[in-house]
Amino acid sequence: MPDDRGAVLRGLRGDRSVRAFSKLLAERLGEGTLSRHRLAGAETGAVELPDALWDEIAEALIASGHSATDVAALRSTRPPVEPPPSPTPRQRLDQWSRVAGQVGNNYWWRMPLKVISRATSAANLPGYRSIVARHGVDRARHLRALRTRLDLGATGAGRWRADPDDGVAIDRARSECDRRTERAELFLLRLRLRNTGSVAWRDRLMYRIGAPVTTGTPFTPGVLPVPDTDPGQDCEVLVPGRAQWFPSLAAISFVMVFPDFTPCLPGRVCCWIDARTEELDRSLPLLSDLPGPGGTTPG
Amino acid sequence: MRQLRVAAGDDLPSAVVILNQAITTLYPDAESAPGGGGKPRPHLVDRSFLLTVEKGHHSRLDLGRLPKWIKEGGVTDKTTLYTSRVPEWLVRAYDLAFCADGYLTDMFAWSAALLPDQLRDRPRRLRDLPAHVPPGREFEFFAEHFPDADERTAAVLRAQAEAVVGLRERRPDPGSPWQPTSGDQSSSRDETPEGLLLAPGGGLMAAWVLHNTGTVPWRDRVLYRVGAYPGGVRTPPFVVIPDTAPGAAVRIEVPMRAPDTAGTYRACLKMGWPDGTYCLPNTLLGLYVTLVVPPGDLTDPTTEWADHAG
Repeated sequence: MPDDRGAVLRGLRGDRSVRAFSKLLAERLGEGTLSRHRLAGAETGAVELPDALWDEIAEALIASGHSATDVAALRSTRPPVEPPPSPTPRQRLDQWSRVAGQVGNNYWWRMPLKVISRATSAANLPGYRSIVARHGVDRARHLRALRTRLDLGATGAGRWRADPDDGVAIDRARSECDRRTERAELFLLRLRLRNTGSVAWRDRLMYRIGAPVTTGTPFTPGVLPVPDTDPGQDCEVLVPGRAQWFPSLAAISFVMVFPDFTPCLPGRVCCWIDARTEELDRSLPLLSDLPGPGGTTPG
Repeated sequence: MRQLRVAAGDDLPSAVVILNQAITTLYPDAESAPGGGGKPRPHLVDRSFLLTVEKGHHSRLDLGRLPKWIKEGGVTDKTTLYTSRVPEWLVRAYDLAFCADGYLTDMFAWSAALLPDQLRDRPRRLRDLPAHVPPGREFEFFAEHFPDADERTAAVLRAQAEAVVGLRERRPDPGSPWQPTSGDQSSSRDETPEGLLLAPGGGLMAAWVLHNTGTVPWRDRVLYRVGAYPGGVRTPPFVVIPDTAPGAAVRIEVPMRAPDTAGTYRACLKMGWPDGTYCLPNTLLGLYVTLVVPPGDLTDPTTEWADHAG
């Protein structure tokens, strides 16, 4: 979209000379911020000004008597960054295939207990060791299962179709879907899923909707393999993770997809990680008062 | 950026491979190495480049030319000010490479909006101030993104429209100047969970309880939305905070509307005065809420699976 701000600025200058207009703006912007030449160039579009400077010009004009409506067209309305490509099943498959392809090189994958011991407290570490022992976490097998599904998706995209006779329910009584924990603490969720339909689950994945981690939401893997499960049978999906950095209540949502990341079932499972504390979230104080516009400091 | 990169795996050479694949996908003409001068252009990266960016040393802020409020605010450890100015193309590449679902590009929009405000000699925003609200069109100003607001949302927006009328012409009181002071402090409790899944264009009433835990009475204050952009979470440009004495608390509601495009988004609000000066400039983030809009190809993702009694 063409930038019309130069023409708008020219209109706002009116009958004033460039010199006079530049002087008017300099009273607010400060000397040297916008020279006559740069101003003239901006009006014709020959010179590109940063959006922040356009905002300063708008503010200077308001201070000199123009209305906010007069100068509204000087404000940028374009997004500061081009959005990422729209997500498609193929894009998600490619993204996670690239990540999964490199997982085996990672320190935390090769030495999980060492990483766990760094990420948790001495009091909690024995608990995690027993979890790892109890579930017999075979990382190589787990990664193989994931990579097999992703490779299948890449080579067979489009061959899967959702079936109306497919069905899923979650056995919450035998699952651990929600967790109350300290912020940034490790956790392991257990999702016990029942195949309630008449379609066998083969080579499926659980896909987490949204970013795998933010400062406000927990970290979990973005994709996890679903054990092959016949109709009427149960399976258990383990979801390892780390609670959010800031104390909060956060939701994480998983859907079940085919290897090509197309959905096999409607709906999702939603898990809650509660890292709230009694403490309030506090702002950071200034170390000293800032002087007022006249250089005075409040008493 | 580092948090998402490490979440995908902490091996830096592997991250370089994944990131360069993403760069090539987004920018087929990407150069093989950084060029000199001029506008940043997409290029392939190496381990050393990533470390520089993630440690805050890439094109960083010139610490010799700090704005007055930072110098006078008594920053003793300048390493806390290290921050890389990351080019837009690299943010998009990280987002795609490490499956950030648009979260990094959304945060880039926030930082691009806040940086010029923080670099002024007084930490201050210049757009969407109470004085910019057209007289007689206050409700339209607040309700711009909520054309089909339900009764509750409409009531909140009407209350804001009424509150801004008195604020528009307000000037600072000599006994209560509009300048950040060391005794000012806000503490908050979120009432809105993080990570909520919303349908495209879906509505949410986010809420916080703000406690005045400082020594300064809160008068003439608003919560400014920082980093709004077309395509992001839609909110009113600001909401008015009722006057709140030290030791008291106030509950604030902010109507929000999810974007129409799938992704992970965050809306941030910072406390400020009617002239745009931020009250608590040391607190970068302020209040925030993270929302997720699911991809359109998923079937009914906002409905939860039934419970099976085993």
